[in-house]
Amino acid sequence: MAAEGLLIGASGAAVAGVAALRLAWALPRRSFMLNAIGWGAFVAAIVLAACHSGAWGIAVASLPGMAAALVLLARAAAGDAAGAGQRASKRRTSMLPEPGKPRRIGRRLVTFAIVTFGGMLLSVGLAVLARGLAANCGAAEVDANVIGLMTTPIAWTILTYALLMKARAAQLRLLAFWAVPGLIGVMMETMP
Amino acid sequence: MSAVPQTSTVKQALFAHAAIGLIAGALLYIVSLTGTVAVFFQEWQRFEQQRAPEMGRISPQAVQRAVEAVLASENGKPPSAHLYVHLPVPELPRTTITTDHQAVHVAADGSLAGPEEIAWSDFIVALHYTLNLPALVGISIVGALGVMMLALALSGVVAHPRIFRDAFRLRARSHGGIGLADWHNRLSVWTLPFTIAIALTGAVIGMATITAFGIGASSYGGDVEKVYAPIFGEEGKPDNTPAGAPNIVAVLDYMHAHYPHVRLSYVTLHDPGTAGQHIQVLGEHARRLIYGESYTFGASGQFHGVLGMADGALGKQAAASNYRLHFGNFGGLPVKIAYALFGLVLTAICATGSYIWLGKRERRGINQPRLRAAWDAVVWGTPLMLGSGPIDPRAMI
Repeated sequence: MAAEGLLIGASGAAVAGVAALRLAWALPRRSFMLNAIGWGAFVAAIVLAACHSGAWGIAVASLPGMAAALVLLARAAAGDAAGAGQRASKRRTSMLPEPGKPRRIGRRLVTFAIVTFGGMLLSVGLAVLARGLAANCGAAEVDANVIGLMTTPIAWTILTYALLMKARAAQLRLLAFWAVPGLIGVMMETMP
Repeated sequence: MSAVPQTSTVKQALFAHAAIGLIAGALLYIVSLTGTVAVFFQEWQRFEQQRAPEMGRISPQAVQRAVEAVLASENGKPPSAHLYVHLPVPELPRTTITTDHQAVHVAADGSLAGPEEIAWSDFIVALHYTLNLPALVGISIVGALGVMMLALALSGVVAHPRIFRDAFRLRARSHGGIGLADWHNRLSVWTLPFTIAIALTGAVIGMATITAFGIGASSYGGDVEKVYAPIFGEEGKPDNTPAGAPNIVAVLDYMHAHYPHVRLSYVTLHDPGTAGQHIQVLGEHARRLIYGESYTFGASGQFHGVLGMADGALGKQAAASNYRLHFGNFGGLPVKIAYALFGLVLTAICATGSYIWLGKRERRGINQPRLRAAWDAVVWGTPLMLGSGPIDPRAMI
């Protein structure tokens, strides 16, 4: 029963964290204390849940916190007065050409190719490097391989974001910069 | 130094967010929606084929009889590489045997009770896993979509400097785009841990083939299977000399005697009916994210060992935890309901993203009714098409 108390406490802390942040972020001025209580409750939830049953406990305890936030959002939606009169954004994102502007289809296709194929190939190269480094640093083969398998999606996510934040020349410089460690990793692993 | 990003960063992040969302939006929507429906894959199977035999448990002798009957029914066909026995568990109290040629239900006495007919449930899962494309291509595209979802989460947070400060501000009934944007942003913030968990695990599962190809080519002389072998175990040495059915009774008796607290979910025969056959039993461990521990046996039922998914190397445990964290089947019905709710929210986020972009263009005077109609068709047409499957009464057998 004491063990169950840990999981219940973790779930409660997650909900309390959401409630504290709701209070903190509704104030006209930033409250360090309430913010600290909110984020501290999340940390407490993770610690308690991990003490109860590790990753399983953390996964379970996070769910009531998210559900509580959705309940608070539903409450905010229900209490909202219709048509508050604010003006919505009409900011351009340059995804499709404005009327009369050049389409730049070739340029758009190159951007797509750089981010998808370039980013993916580079990420696999970085995965090979990560696996090689882990193995050479003494990690067991199984751990090194799992590190490699997990590196690709994480590296590709960061590269996708970073590439789309840059202009063309900077994109190519970024690709070239990260290709170096990727190539070193492949060479390190393929050479006897 | 301020943690608030500069205006140019925000603007570029918004571009990145819109670029990824618009290019991958329709596929992300379909994958999110089918994933949400597939949370209840076991329940859908019971709904779709309601008259299949159900049982709380099945005796080892009945399993043995059923396996022998299935193997006998496949005489003259090319041998199956694997034979899977799904054992009854509370979520799906059915015994089903699947080979390369067929899937049949088993009655509690071990007699074969007719074919498994869950085409709609399988279709949903295949659409989610591979977009119904050839497996290698499909799963890699879905893995790439997981990466795009992670990049959307990252660019979305950067593109909205007040995203946390405004996390509870929901002008739900505002017209002219504000309400829609608020719904999109607020739901995104509060389901961010779920989105990251789902997208990352999905991306790892989906991108594994391509990554393994890279690692296999550079570190294992092109042998991709050797990348997986340290994690999930090696396939046995094949010996295609015909042999009798393996001793499953001895295997299940051993498991009940030595691992009484493990909930058995699958018995897998590798190279069944050949001299090289061996047996793997999958046992679920309570309160763990791992999909289970593998217990291996020889054909005559002698215990060989444990693979170590539950308490072996950290890499094994992490790899084995990917799947249930993604599928949401680690905590019974409450967790499944939570996953379905958050999955529905994620699907709504995918749908509203493109509507927000269309709305911005319309407020600048650029009306594109065909584009809007096409997006309407994706958003409303997909669930309608998926929902039409189980409505067919001929499927309810």
